[in-house]
Amino acid sequence: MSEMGYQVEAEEPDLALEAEGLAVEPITQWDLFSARLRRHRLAMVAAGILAGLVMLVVAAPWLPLHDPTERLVDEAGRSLVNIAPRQGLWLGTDDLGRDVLSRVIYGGRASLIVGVTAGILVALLGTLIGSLAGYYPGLPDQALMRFTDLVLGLPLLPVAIVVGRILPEIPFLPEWLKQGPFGIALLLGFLSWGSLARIVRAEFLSLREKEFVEAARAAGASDRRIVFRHILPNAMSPIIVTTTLVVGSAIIIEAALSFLGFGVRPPTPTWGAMVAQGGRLAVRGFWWSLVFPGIALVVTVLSINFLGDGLRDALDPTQTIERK
Amino acid sequence: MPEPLLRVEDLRTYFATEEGVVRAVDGISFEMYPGERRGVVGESGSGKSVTAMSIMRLIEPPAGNIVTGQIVFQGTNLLELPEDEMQRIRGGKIAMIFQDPMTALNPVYTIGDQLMETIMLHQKVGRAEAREIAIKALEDVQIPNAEQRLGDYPHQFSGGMRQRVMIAMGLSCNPDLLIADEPTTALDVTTQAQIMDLMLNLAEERGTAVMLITHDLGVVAGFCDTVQVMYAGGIVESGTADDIFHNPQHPYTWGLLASMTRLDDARKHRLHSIPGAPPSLIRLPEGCRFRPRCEFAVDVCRQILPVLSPVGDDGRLVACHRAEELDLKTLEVDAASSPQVDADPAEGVSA
Repeated sequence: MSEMGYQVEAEEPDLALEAEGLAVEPITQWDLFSARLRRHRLAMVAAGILAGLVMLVVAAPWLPLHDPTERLVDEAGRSLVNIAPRQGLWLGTDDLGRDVLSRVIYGGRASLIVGVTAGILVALLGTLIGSLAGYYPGLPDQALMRFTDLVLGLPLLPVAIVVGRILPEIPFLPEWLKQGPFGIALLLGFLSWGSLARIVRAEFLSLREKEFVEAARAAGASDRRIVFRHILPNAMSPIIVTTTLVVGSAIIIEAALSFLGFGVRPPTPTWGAMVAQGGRLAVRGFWWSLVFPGIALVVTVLSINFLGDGLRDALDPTQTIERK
Repeated sequence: MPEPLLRVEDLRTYFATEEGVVRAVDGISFEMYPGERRGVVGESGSGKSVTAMSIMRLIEPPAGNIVTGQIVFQGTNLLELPEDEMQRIRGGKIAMIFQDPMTALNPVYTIGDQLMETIMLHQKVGRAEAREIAIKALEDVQIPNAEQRLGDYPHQFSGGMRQRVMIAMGLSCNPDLLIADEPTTALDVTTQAQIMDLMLNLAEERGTAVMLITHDLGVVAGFCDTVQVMYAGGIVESGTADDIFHNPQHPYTWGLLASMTRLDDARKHRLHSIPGAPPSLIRLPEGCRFRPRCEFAVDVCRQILPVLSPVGDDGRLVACHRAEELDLKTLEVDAASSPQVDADPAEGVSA
């Protein structure tokens, strides 16, 4: 015990300085936050993985990769179908002779676009609706919350399938909305802000009774100023954490939709569609078409969830730095 | 007499609850003059804070409503002002200091941000100038290293320091009226007197009138020019601090004073206490509201609510049917003779 305690103290670098009474830079909330996050090893690993993935996906067009839709042929002109991983084709090819590595990376593009876009939309909608409901009691609160209940009550997958089917039939919509990952992202975003709205409302209900809000009002602050400058920053932690988790679930749901054939239109690669196609190939022994997109999907979503976990711990001011 | 700074007339603020209507403030009238220091005393639930909140128009419908009355501040009735003009008055012309400095500052912003926000809200100055004013304001409340501390967060300040910051914030825009709602209740005794001194000196320099809400009679005795005693949503007695403390004319005031502990009282005896508890503000008793607890009640007290009316000619107002006939000053309870006023706040007498 004494040995442990001694070690912990010895690790504290500022202690000697403080003991000497030298001026020490004040510890800001941000310092505490990042210190707590850095102690959370799993979250740091997850953040590293996600950072790598984002870089890979953004840089994809400039990397020495085959086009994800190109059907590869060898020098003799024979098509390279269902080639096992080997040098040059590190993750093999699928049944149309397309490079699995390239498709996994470009598929990550679709997944991340869906996840991040849906996440941003959820953060905006959930925060807006939750804060309005939480700040204005009575009728606005009731109306918004019943609407939220309605959205929460919609079964996500069936509704997404139906709407996803109807969307391309609407003539005046732009192509990017009908075809690409953005359409699905917006759809998922519009369907999944409900739980965040409830969380934000609950935060607002408790924060609006705080004395500093009363004090701000007594100092002549307007409603808008109180909501955006005084209450919202205090509610940021749950918003950040919930949004992070929404990103993960949006990626999963997009994969499920693509798996079922209702997602992003082929030949644009997505992890869900690749897993669906890979499943058929894997039973014939071509396991690489299934396993690699599957691993990519699982690792990404797990990383996002771990990061969300780490953020929740780090943003909670009642946590001490020593934990984890 | 100069023009009053603030004139409250027949103010009634009611709250709708499931049990019924709570008449938190029920028909009070008073005036405050520029530079006046007015103490508002009374038990919890007597309507002190609600009076302050009503003046600031911080009572929030639908639960709370100012039912009738006028609050005339510098010639304008605040109750008729549109919200955006009221926002200019709050913090600008009338500032308020809250009870608990630990929660009255927003934890996610630095002290400087919060001070400058208030300053920029009410004065036409840029960031740099607001910063200068903020530094000056912190120096005024005797916070050392004001410039560096501007970048600190509230959690880096102690309770007394935070209340200084609140005072700096309240006075930064040179308000004409400062409402301090139990500003020292949450602080420990040693800092209470310092904070009171600081606040009142700064207010005096600026000519700011102060409405000091407290249940600490010692603080009122030490710091206030005038006192109004509230009970169950009404004013029962008001006058100069000297008169009230030397010569209480309402049995409730007398009871409050008799229940103070005193350092200079050597005799061993039980402390006087007012029997019973304040009435429910939903079902107020008929007649005088203090009647059920009053030792001097007679038949008329049972039927007619006494109105606040002048007694003598020194501006004293008392709401008691027997004010003229009772001579409370000479009355000897088993408690001490009527407490004296002395301006020493460190005496720490409390109700």
